Amino acid sequence: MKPTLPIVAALAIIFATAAVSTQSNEDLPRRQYESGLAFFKGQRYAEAMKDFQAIIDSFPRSQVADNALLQMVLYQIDIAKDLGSAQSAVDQLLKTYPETDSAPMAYVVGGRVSMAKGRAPGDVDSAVASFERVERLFPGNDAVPAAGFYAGEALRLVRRNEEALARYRRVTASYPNSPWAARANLAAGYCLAQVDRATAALPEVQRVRQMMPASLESETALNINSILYRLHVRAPKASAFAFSGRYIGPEKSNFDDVVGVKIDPLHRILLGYNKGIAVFDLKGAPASTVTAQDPSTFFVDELNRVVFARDGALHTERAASMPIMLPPTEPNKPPRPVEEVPSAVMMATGHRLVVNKKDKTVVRYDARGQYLGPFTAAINTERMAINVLDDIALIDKDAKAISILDRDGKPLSKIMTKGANYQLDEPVDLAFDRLGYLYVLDRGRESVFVFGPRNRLITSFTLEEKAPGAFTRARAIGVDGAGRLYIFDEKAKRIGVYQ
Amino acid sequence: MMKVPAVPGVPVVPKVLILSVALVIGASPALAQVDLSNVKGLVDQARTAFDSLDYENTIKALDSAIGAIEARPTPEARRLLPQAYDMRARALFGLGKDKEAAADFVSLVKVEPGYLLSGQVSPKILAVYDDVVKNNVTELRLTILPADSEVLLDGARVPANGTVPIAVGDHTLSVSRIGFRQVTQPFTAAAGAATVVDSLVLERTASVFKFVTAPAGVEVVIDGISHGITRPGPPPAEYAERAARSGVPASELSAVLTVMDLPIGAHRIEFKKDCFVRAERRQTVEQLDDFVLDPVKLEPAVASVSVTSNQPGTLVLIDGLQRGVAPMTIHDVCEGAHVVELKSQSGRYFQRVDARTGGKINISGTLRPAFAIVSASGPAALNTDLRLTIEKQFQSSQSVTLFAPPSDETAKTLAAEKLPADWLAFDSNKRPIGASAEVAAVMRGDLSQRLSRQFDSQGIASVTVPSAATRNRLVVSLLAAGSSDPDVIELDLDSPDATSLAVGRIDRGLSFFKPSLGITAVDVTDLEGPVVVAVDPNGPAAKSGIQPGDVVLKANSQPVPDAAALGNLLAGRKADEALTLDLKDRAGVAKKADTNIYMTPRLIGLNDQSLMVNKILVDLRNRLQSQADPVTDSVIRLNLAVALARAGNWSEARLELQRVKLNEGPGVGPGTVHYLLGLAAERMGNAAEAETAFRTAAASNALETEDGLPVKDLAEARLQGLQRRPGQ
Repeated sequence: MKPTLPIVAALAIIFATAAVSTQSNEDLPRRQYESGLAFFKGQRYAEAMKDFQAIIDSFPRSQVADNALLQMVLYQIDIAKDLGSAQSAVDQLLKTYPETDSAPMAYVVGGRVSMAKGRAPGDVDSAVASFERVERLFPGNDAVPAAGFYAGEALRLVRRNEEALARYRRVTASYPNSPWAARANLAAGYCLAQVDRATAALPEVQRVRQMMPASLESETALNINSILYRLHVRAPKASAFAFSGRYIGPEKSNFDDVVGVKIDPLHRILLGYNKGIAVFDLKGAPASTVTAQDPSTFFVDELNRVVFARDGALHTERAASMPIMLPPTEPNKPPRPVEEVPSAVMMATGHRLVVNKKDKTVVRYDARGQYLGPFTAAINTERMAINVLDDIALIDKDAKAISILDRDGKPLSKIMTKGANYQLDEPVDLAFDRLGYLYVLDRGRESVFVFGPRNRLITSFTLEEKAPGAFTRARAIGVDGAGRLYIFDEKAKRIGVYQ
Repeated sequence: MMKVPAVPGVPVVPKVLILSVALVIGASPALAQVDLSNVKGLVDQARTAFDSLDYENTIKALDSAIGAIEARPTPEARRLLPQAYDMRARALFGLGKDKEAAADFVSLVKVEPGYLLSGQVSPKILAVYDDVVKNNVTELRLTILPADSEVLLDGARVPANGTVPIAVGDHTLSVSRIGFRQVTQPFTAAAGAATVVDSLVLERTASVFKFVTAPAGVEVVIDGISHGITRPGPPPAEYAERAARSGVPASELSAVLTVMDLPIGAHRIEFKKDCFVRAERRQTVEQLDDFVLDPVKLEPAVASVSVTSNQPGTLVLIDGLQRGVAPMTIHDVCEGAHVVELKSQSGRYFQRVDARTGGKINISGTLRPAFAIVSASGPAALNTDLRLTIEKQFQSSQSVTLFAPPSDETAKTLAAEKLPADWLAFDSNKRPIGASAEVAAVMRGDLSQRLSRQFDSQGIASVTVPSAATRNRLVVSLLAAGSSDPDVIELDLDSPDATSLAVGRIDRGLSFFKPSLGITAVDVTDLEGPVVVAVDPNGPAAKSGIQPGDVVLKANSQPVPDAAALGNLLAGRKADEALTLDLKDRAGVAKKADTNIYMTPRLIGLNDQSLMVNKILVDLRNRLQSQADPVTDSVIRLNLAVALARAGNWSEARLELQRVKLNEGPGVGPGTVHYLLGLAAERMGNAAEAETAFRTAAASNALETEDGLPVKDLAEARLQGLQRRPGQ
């Protein structure tokens, strides 16, 4: 039966109205999503999350709802480091939006959450399985190279470097033009360095500069190759380092009682001393000072804020102080503060490790200062360093060694003060570079010793007492992204730069 | 016994049956022929007897002949009857049988009233005959209008005006003409008096139009109603003058097409024929009459199309019909829309043209490897052939042709293969959709080969709409002939930029050589130039003394601040071009090196998922068709082998690899080929051959691609794998 004219007209109006309605239904959530992204980019995370949550609550069927939820997932894992919330959001995304473009990346984040929770074999297997699922379920999706990269990361973080290398190479071979290939090349460089094939890493890392010139990854590649070149091509035939002729800080400074030199992810150089933390820019010009009377140590947190220790508390720049308390030793007694903190570091999980000098322990806290438990005990140390795997190196005065522990406090190895081709006299500070090489500043020998994989001495660096840049009373050392050394010398009262 | 050989498709039938059938089938015409020839024979036999005065045998033969004719009075046989009666009457007379002779003469004049006795006739016989005529024959006088009416007397045509002899007795006169009412009139002719039909005027009942066209085959449409198509001529002779007057060659004229029953009033007459300019005449019918129009000549409505091709021997087709080989000019392309196709073994080009009468169209076609879009699936908009949409979207491609064969042809082919429309449907994540999930890779490879051959293309394609929610997002899957692994491209019809990107992706070209010095240089902070970290012992740099640790400062006096600058400086160079480098060695000592450029082969990545492998496959196959120097040919084959391997066709890949001959040099070289041969052997289950190939590769300095991993590492890893899986 043919519809009559009025019915046809009515249907046309209904469809036209529906089309307009669909368009407007999509328009608002899309604009709100773009607003959220803008806030996210500007690091205004609270506002960003409000936008994304509003989309999920009000427009759950819109085309950007899955994207909004994915942004929340990324926030939870990368910024808030709230693994529980991240996992919940991943589960919600995969349940509600299993066929959307966001689903593959949700599997990737799910794998990352597994890795962040722990590095036991089961955690690694679970994470790798989650990453592999992406390629099987979404073979042509852009998230496949990301999943491949993170599968390599999962293996690299548990030191399965050869397997990790194979995963990274699969990404670079399969998706050579993807940004994930660039990251895989960089990570492959790390793995090659770890398996004593540093020279093979050089061309692999250099490829990033060809692929993505003028990118952050390209700059990282330049830095990695600078380290590898210095330690493996230039040395041992020539000295790996030379004084650059450059100092950080004024010639006649008042930097007394220096507690550390750090180089943060923003390439700022930070010097802790008895009046606070002096901050210099990349070129060494003073940028700012975080005023603090007699800080005992400092580090830079996940939001690039300076955190220093003093009087039993961690004080964060532009934020409230957090007392660092120990649980009572006996019932009915109050918690007690950690009185003397000569060193503190931040882990990738956001946890803080604090040296309790009095008790000869290292204690773990969360980002809010909540006591999480002991990290290690019976260690007389004043300096710690942390690498990209969250391994901790400590100068153990009693053991006359440098102890290296994993992220759970389990001993991995020791660098004894006397080795086959070196002798440490008075190690006063230590730092890791981005490839995991450990730089030990020896005040007694006026030298820097560089240890590589399996604690093998790669090279050492000493300047004649009267040579320019000589560090006869060295106190602290920092290493920047390119492997340059920043050594504070109490005689020069400045930071010398060595490259 | 002789056997009848069996013919494929024809069942063997017993011989006896065949003969029986043949006899039955041939019975009627054979008998008729026998009769007529018999009658002729009998008449000839009678003539011979008659001439010999053997009247008895004459009569005997003619009895038989006349009996046969009367029994089966065909027109041909009847023509023999008068002379048969004549001869028998004379023979009877010769035997003295006058009465019987007179009876035969009566029969004779009834058959042919105007019959005249011929030859030597005796006066007696003549007297008998005259007497018979006198008593049995009279006249019919006719005056009929119109004069060109058809007049039939007892079924035989007679003139419309004049006098004709008729036998005494009953007759029927029938008069007819187109446009007039027919008249049929019985009458009795009496002896001794003429029968007169005077002024019989037929009544007109309709107008009559007569058309002749040049050429024939023209449809005549009067007042919008088709009245037929003119047939090939010639027309009656009287049209010659009219044709000459109209300037139409008589040889082109059609036969006359007669149209009746046009009422009084004005009429529009159209003359239509494909490829000719339509003609029109107007004719008013004021009273019923005959209208004979001058011959209507239609002028050809054609354009000329000149076609050239970038390949010799290219076939030219218009609307699917082969017209010749390019270069050529086709002068008779009808006005209207056409598809001009150029086709060769290696590719295809097509252009849709709108031909205008008298116009000249020049087509310069560049043949490109072609994918026939054989299927479309998913919730498309109604009445939309997605294949045509895709054909249009990819028209700007400079490297491939995507074309949609006629839908009935593709439907027939898919039905023959028992394939549903979604047999090659993938989403943008390259996940199979619907029936495509059921098609195994091997089967897909076979189908791509067969269907490509069927559509005379280098590959096939499909288009699908994965989601009803986003109908303007289409996914195109491409399969080169023999490939089992499709390339998948997503298009958003709402986003021209996305389409341009997709076309750009498919058009991304390949180059086969890269200038090289045989060094690996990296950037390091705080140094003036790139540092050499590896020197290929087979390359020119090694021969000029460049060593790892050297820092490149200048090349041909131009500063080289980083590795990218060195790469840019090399990019435009040719083989063996000289280059002088200023360097600083590891100890900081300045040095110079005179070296030259080596062209290292480039190779696509075996695992590179960003490559459009199927497009590359058809492209490389196409390139192999053209002549190239042996080195280039080898590099093309090497790339083709990798593309084939990617497409799942390892056996063909192996064959191509075996034909590759590369010189030792930095980068991709013989070691690369051995490594790939090892992979092919491993894939084909030949562990021993794989091991040999991998061992050769492991001893080389070659790279997997021009800037890829050392094949040494890769081959050693494979060897370890083989050792873990002995016997495989």
